[in-house]
Amino acid sequence: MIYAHAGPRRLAMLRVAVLVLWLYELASDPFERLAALPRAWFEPHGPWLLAPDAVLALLWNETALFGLKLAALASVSLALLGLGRPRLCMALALALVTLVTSFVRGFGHADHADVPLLWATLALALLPAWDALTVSKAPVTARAPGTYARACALVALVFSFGYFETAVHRLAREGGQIFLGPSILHFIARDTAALDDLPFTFGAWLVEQPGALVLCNAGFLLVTVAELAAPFAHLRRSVSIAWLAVILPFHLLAPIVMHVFFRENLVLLCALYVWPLWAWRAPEVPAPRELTERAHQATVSSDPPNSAGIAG
Amino acid sequence: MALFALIALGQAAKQKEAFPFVAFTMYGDAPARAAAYYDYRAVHRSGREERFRPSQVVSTLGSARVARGLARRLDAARGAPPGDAAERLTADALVALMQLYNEDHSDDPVRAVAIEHVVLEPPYHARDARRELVATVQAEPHAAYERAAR
Repeated sequence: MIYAHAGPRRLAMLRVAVLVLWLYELASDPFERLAALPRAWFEPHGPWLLAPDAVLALLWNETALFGLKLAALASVSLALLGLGRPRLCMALALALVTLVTSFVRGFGHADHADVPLLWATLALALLPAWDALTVSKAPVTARAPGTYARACALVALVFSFGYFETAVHRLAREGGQIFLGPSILHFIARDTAALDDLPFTFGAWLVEQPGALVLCNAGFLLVTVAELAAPFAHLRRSVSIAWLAVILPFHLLAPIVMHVFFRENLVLLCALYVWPLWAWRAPEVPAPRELTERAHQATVSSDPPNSAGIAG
Repeated sequence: MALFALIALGQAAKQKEAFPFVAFTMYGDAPARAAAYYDYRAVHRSGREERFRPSQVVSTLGSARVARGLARRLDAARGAPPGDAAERLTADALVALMQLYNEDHSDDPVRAVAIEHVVLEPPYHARDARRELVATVQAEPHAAYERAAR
């Protein structure tokens, strides 16, 4: 497993990566501008289904939505730094980013870009991700061997499940036939034209080239196989490398070919796979503070319980 | 285990209620032969015309949510009688988008947006697209949804 050498600091670094990504997502997003859209466009999802209409009416202005964004930013910052009671901060951060994400989701079509990030955040909240890299000095807890490796694997599994579900749905619904017909050219032509936030015209050019159908169907099949393999990608170094060799180019080409860009997934792929493959090949070196604490613990545990009395 | 159970159950649950445990269905259905979408042309106060890109106005929502959200409402408005709620919602949404755009481009604001329904038949060559003007949504001098004559 690529996380075999994971320790408290490496798991904590995953926490930092995920929460910094949330900070960027929230800070760079003009979320409050949604108040300018008609309320009739909004169809409540998730926790917003529980909100009375009066609450929504109260929230439907730039100031209130900006306040919600600021509260989410503050709670994510606290969870990132590990100030005070980090798990409590993380629970609050999770609740607020879920509120923000599901509010955006209420404006329509399923867009899964932020869901794997939300799942990874939820998984981290359940894991010992605050055993290192915190501002508040947390009490040192003895963990069973392999705890941090299993924790990293859980985050990877949760993150990768979206890929797996996508491939399973595709194969269960359409079978192998979808890779033989013109579906992929339809998707490329439609999304290049209809999804209007990126300027690339490569997709429209590509579908007009001879051999485009064969080439695109081969790529579609290859990506589907990689999606199916996603939950197993962290189990072996060679499998991880092969999987990344398909999934990374897919995420880099998808915005150019079909105007679909999963920025969050690209960052998480780097944090969960590329970085461990590259930098986690040796056991984690404890930080100076941990070394001091371990030395102190070793001194305490090597003394017999009544040693002070004997010495006295 | 509980987390995995939630994620797995989200595949089968009602998507609104289950969020964020949702089904992943991306490019999962073989579509009908023709690809269809809506194209928007902005008419500025100066008379200048250019492509209107709604998802660039509200980047928060992402292009898929804006484009498909508007397309769903436009499909409903086209099938409904004039003045129907679906038509009003489409008009309100597009006027709001124009006003947001105009906040950032007050030098030459958008006065109206013309909506075209575009159909691409296989082999999906853009030059062979069939375009039909569906409606024009006016932001100035007052909000209005004007259906194109058939």
